[in-house]
Amino acid sequence: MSLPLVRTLALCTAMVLSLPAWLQAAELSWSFQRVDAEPSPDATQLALGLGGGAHWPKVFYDKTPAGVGLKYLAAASLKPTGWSSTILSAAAIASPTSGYVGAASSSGGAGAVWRTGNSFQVAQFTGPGWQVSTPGSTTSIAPVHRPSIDYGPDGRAVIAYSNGTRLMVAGHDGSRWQNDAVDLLGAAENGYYPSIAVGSDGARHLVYRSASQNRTYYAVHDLATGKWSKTELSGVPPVTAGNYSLAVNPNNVPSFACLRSGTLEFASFDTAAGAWDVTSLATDVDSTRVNLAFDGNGRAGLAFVSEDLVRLMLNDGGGWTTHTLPSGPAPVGGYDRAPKSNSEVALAFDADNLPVLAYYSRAGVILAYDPIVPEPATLVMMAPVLTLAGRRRRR
Amino acid sequence: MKGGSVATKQTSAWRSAVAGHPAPVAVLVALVASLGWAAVPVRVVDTQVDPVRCQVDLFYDVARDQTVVAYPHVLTATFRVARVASCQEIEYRALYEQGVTGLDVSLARDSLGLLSAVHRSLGDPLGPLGLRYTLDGGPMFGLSTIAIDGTTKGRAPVFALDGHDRPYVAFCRMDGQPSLATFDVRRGRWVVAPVPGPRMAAPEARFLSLALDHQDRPVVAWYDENSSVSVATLGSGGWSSRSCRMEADPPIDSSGLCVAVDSVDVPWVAFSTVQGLLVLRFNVLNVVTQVAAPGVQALLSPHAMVVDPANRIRIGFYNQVDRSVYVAANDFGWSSTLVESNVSAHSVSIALGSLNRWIVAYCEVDHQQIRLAGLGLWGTVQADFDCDGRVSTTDRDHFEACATGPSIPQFDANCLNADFDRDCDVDQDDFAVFQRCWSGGDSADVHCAD
Repeated sequence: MSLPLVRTLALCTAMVLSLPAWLQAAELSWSFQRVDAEPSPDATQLALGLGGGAHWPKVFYDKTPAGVGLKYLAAASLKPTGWSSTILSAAAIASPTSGYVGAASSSGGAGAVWRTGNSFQVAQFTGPGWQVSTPGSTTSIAPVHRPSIDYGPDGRAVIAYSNGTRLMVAGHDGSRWQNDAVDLLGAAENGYYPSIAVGSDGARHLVYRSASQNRTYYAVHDLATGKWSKTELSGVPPVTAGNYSLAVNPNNVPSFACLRSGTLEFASFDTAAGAWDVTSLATDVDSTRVNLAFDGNGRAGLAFVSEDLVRLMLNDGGGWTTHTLPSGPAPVGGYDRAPKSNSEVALAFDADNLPVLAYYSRAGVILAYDPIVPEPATLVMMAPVLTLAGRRRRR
Repeated sequence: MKGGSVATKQTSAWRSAVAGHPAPVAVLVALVASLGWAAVPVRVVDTQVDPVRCQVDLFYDVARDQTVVAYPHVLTATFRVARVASCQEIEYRALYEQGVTGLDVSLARDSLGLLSAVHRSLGDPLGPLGLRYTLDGGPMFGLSTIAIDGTTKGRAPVFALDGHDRPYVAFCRMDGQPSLATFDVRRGRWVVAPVPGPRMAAPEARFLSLALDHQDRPVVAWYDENSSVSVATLGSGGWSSRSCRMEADPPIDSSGLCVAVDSVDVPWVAFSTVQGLLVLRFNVLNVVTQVAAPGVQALLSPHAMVVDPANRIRIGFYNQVDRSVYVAANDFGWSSTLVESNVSAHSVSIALGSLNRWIVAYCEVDHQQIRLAGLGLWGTVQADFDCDGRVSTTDRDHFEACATGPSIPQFDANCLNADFDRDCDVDQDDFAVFQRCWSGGDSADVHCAD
C-alpha cells in the first residue's frame, strides 16, 4: 500500500471518528411529507402505524373539523394518489386533553386505540373503510387511564387499559373482544399508564404503575399456565406525568422506555444477569410521551422533541446514538418542519428496517423517512477512490 | 343467431332418465342477434364504445365473484367500469368524472379489494398530457385521479400492483425509451426512471408489456429498435436485461406484444410474425421459441397472456386471417379454442376467472360493443342454468334440450353451458356432473362439479 493512500485512509478515519455522533450517521437525505396542514391547534399526541406489510404509513392525530370546534381523532393514509384523511371517532375525544391515541402495526395492517368519553375504541382498516369497535370502558377519564395497543402474531389486536378499578387486557378473537382482568397472585390489580407488548410467541407483557403501591411493575402472561406474574422494578421510579412504552425485540426480550417529567430512562431485561438494567438517556425531553420500537434486526429506537428539534435515538447493541432531524423550511413545499415544543414523535420501522417518524410542526402533521444512512465505515472505504481520482487529475 | 340445432337422436338410456315433466326450456344467456358464431358463452357487456379508440382491460374479483372490465365509453365521455357476475345484472360505474378520458386503460385490484387504474390522458384539467393514476377507494377514499409526475406525453401504459399494493407503470416516453413509474412511499411521490436497453422500435401502444414475477419484481418486455424482443427485470440489485434478435422473423406491424411470468419466474413473451403466433420463453441460459398458433396474423394487447396456477399459458388474440377471436393454450402442446368467429375485433384481454377458467374481453368494432367470453363467466354452480340457486326441474329441462349424445357436437351457444367437460358435446359424462349437482328444492352445492 502506497504512502499517499495510507495517509488518505488515516485522514479519513480521523475525520469520521471526530464527528459528533449525531452527524456521523449523516442525515443526508431525510424525506419529509406533510400529512395534514390543519390538525387541531393544541394537538400534541399522535400515533403511527404501518400497514400493507409495513409499507404504507397511517397516522392517527387530533383534528378539529371546520366549524365544529371540538377535537376528533383522525386517521390519514398514504396512497399513490396522496394522503387521504378521515375522522375516526364518532364523538369528540376528551377535551382539553387528548384521547391518548396509541397505534400498532401488524403484518396485515395498522390499528389504533383511543378514548372517547368513558369508552375505549379500536379502529382497524378493512377494504370498505375503518372498522371501529369498543372493547371496554372506564369510570375515570384521568390521564392515568390511557390505553395501549399491540398486535399478536396472529394479527389480532390486544389492548391494555384501566377501567378505573382494575387493569384490563382485551384481545380480539376474530369476532368479539375478550376482556380479562389482570389478576396477579390471586388479587385484582389496578394500574396506571399501562403499556402492552405481545411477543412473536404470543406472550403478553405489561409495564404499568401500580395504583395501590405507586411503583413500577412489569408483568408477563404465561401462556402455559394462563397466569400473570409480576416483578417490581424498584430502579424505575413510577411515572406521574409521561408514559411507559414497552416493546419486545425479535428475540421476545422485553424493554421499555419511561418518560417522567422530562427525564427519559430505558430499561431492558438482561437475560444473562436475570435482572433489569436501567439507563438514563436524556433529561431534557419536551415531548409529552415517547414511543419505543424495535426493527426487524433488534435495533431499538426512541424519538422525541428536545430543545426544539426532533431527536431519534438508535441502539443496535453497541450503545445509543442520537440523530437530529433537519429543521426549517422543507426543500419541497417550503413548509416549516420545526416541531412544536411538546409534540409527541411517533416512531415505527418499515419493512426495510428504516425509521419512520410522525410529529406536529407549526405547519401541520409531518411524516419523516430516513431513507439511507451510510455507516461511517463506508466513508472510510471511499478514501481509495478519492485518492485514485486525485492521482488522475494530477496527471 | 347462427348455429346448429340440438340433435334429437335417442341413443342411450341416460336420456330417458332426464326426460320428464313438460316444463319449458330455460335459456340462461340472452345474446344480441348480431353475434357471430360463438364457440363459448359470450356476453355483451356494453354498447356505444368508440370502435377506433376502444381498448379494454379486465380482472376477476375473486372476493365478489365478478369480472371487472374497464373501457372508454363514448356516450358518457369517460372510462367505464362494468362488473359482470353470472345470473346478475351488469353494474356500471364511471371511473372518472365526465370529461376525463383517454386511451390505454390498465386495471388492477389491491389487497383490500380497491380498484386502481392507469390511463393515458388526451387532455383534462389535471395537467399536461401524460399518464393518470386513479384510485376507486370506495366510501373511505372516494374516487381520486392524479397526474403521474414525469410521464408527460407518455404512451402505452401498462400497470400492475405487487403483493404490498405498490404500483408499477411501464410506459413509452416520447423519445421511444421504455420507462417505469413507481410510487416512492418514503418521498410520497411518483418516481420515473428509464428501463435500460434500446428504445422501442416505434412508440406503439401494442409493443410494450409488464408483468410481476413471484418475487414482486416488475418484468418489462418490448420490441426494440434493434429488431429484438427485450425483457428487463428490476430486482433489489437493479435491472437485469435479456434480448432475443428477431430480425429474421420480426413481428408483423400490427401484432402487439404481451408478457407473463411462469411459476419459476421465467418470462414468456408472445407476438405474431409471418409464421404465426410466437412465444419466446426466456430461460436462464437461452431463449426458446414456440409456435403457439401457426399461420395466424394475431393482434395482441398488452394484457393478452396469463399463467394459471398449474403453469399453463393462456393467450387471447384476434386472428386477422379468419376474423376470429381465439384463446391459445399449452395444456398438452399448443392448441387454440375458438371464442367467436366472423367478427371484427381487437384489444383482446384475458384473465382467469372462477376455478381458474379463462375469460376474455374484447372490442367488437362493427356494433361498437364490449364483449366478454369464456367458461369462467359462469358462476360457481355450473348446472344452475336459470340462476335461482338450485339445480332443479327447469335446469333439467334445459339440459335435456341441449343433450346431443357422445361425440355429436353441440353448436348452439345457448347450450354450451351444458357441456361441462368442454368436449363440444353434451353427453352422459356431462349428465354425471348434472346428477351430482342436482339439489331439487334445496340450495345447490357450489362444489358439486369439482
